[in-house]
Amino acid sequence: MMKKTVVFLFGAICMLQVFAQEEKMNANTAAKEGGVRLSRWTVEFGGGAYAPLNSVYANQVTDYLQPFREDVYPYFQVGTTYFFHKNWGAVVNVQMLYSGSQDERGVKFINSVYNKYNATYYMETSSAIPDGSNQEITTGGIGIVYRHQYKKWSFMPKLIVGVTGSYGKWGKTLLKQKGTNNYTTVNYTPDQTSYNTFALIPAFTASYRLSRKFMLNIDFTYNYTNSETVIDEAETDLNTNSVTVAKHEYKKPMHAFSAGAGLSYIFK
Amino acid sequence: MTKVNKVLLLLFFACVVEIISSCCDCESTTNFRYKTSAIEVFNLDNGGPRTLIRDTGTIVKNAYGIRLNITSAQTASTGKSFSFFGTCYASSCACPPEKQFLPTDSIVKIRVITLRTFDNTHAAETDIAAYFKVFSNNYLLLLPDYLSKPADIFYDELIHTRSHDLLLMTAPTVTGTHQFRVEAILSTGDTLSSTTKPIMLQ
Repeated sequence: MMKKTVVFLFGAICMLQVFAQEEKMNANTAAKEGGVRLSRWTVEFGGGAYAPLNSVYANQVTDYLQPFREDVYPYFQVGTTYFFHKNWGAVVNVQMLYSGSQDERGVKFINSVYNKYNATYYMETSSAIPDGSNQEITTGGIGIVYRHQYKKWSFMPKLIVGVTGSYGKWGKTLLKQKGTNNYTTVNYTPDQTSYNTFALIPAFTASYRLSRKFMLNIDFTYNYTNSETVIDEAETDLNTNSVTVAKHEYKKPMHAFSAGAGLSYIFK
Repeated sequence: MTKVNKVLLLLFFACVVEIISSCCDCESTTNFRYKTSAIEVFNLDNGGPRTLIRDTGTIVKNAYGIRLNITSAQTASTGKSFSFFGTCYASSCACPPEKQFLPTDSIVKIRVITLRTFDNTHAAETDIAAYFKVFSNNYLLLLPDYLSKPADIFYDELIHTRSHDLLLMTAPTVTGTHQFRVEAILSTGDTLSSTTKPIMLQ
């Protein structure tokens, strides 16, 4: 039994080697004979617009402290593709979402705190504290790409799996109860410093060969990931020092569509 | 001279230049002393978005407070600090402050004496300081906790008057006109006192 298994594995490896050699020859032959230059290794840069298809907002005061937004925002991406076959290749891609002005989100958060407490409290101070970065969601992944090559154009459907990293914000406010000496602080804190969740990214790229070394890309991407953000809201009565904690959960599958353009540099 | 010696000499020269250039020409700090010279108290209305000093009218009893102003006075200069080492900071050329004001005393206890009957357990001329808390830096502190902080050291300029808000956390059961005498007992044994104007609490 053992002997049969070893012989089978050896045979399978030999067949793969032969297949790979044949495909490599075919690719070289096509490159030379068909007049179509097939790239083997490219590096891509690009950017575009990222449009969420669903919302994670829960009409809570903490909505603007979790990273997923409702509106369209820009992204930047960088990646590399290696074709091990004339049609098939492996792709590594990182997509960074630029979440825009932190001040704007801070103001929205402060307004939502004001609306929640205004009837009973004066809001002494309130702030949403950014983590110093405008890049709140980053998706990185590895996948497979199929290439259908024409003379100048190539069309490449891709399937990428990876991880989406996102960051929640924290905020705080000091409340004074109207007509009393009672003060309350409210601290809003994400339950983790970062959230890393599974991402599935089917994509389609159309490339037009501009020159021997450059291609213009048009990218369409569908992003699926999960929001796992939980924001803790801790109210502390400064007189009694009693603390009550409420959890605001933003656990939901997130869908988005992005479209953009970029350039590929052909190494090989 | 070997190449190694030349390199070492060059490094030594660079090090000497660095040391000379990092030495700052700083004046020594002159130390001054100050003492607590007086206190003054006012009725506070904390019911609105901001605390207001109110000498007449009515204040909601749940939002009453006392503004305590502590006045300090400079007493003497104790001369310049002496050190065998340079007075500049090690990591930068910023000089230490030219003047430093150190306290000669501190407030060790504050009594808040109600001059009218406050509730069933506190008749006139009794201490109700335990009913007050100081609101400071987003904390409400009992007076003993607040006074346990180190006394202030001022740099370059003496702040003559500092304000502290004593908020009444337990409202009187007896409504009507109230008046309070605040006594600050100093570490020197002296007592400074001031009395609020009568105010209606309801």
